[in-house]
Amino acid sequence: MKQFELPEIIKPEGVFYLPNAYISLYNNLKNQKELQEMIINNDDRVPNCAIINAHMIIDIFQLLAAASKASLLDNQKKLKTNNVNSEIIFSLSPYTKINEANNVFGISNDCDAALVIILCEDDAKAMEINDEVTSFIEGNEIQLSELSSYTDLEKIKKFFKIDESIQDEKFVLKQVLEQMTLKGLKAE
Amino acid sequence: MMEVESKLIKQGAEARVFQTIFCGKKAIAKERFKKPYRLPCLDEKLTHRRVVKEARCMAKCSKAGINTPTLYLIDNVNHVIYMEFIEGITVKEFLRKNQDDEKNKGIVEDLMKEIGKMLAKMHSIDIIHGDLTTSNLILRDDNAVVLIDFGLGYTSHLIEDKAVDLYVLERAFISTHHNSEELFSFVLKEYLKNTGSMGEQVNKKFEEVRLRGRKRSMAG
Repeated sequence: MKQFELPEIIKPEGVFYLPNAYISLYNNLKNQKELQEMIINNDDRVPNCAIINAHMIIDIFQLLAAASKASLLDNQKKLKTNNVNSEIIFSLSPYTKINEANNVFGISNDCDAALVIILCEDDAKAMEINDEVTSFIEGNEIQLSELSSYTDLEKIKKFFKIDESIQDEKFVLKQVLEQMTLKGLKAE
Repeated sequence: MMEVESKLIKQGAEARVFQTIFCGKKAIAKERFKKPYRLPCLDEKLTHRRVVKEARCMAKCSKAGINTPTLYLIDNVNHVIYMEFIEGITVKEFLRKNQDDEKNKGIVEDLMKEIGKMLAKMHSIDIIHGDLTTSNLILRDDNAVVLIDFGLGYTSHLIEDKAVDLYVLERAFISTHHNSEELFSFVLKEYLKNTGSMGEQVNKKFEEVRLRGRKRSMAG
């Protein structure tokens, strides 16, 4: 589990802070079906975290941007989904269908690697949640630096409607981040 | 207590620009502040609309392969856009430092051509930047030119708007750089090379705009 700082938010009267993000990566998942069902049914045993399909993430920054958005909307009481954890998954998608976002970015049957993100103010509490996570997920925790070997760039390009001939990962990441940022913006 | 990382680096009439850190990356936060002299509900609407417009123009250009800062987050309540911080110097600074050096002639010429190519791409997707100056073009450390500040940007397919966009850049060259005629001619030549028949129309209009200035005369 690694700790990341979310951005400070600039307000006319000064800045305020979002909680920290704690991220870990698991592979060889065995109980994805069970996890998926429990998350969908809002089971009490689900720890306070978001579980994300690692194949759809190019860079941890992509997840951090989504977490920042979700956390900001939570703070402003403008969530489109049930809670901040499901909002992280929703924020990853460029489209406004919550169900679709869950299917693509949430955990599913054909997903054997997952990123777990915990939003939390203090380290001790994050450790507590992390303990719950490790007993909840049947899989092996691995280094975050191994994420790139799970990234499915072709699938990402297809989902985000990015020209398939583009091979430059940085360019794809830029387009993905921008589509995420622009999602749901209305002129009025 | 954490340290405040956001530093005010620029203040304009419409917005304040902060340098900050966004999830470990150097970033810019552009805050469009409240105008106390405007009716609050109108102010809110106008500000919101401008934030959205700016972000959309930026993303459209980026999609077309123009280098722009990456958008990170939009805060619709406080009207702040968080975006990538571009490491480099403005084209304005670069020209001031290198323009007179004979051995940099080739580099400067290439840079002007790069700008021309970029504007051609932008106009062919019908984006008007609205504030083309050499300070809104940044020469990134990897030598790519990055277009910034879409605060006055909008979409238009009108030849007139494109011609005025070029005219604004020409005026910026004339007022900030010497030998501007030669510099701008490189930009224009490359622009025309990459825009085809639309470019010819823009060029024709551009000659007209040069004679009369940016604003169309109300009389006749």
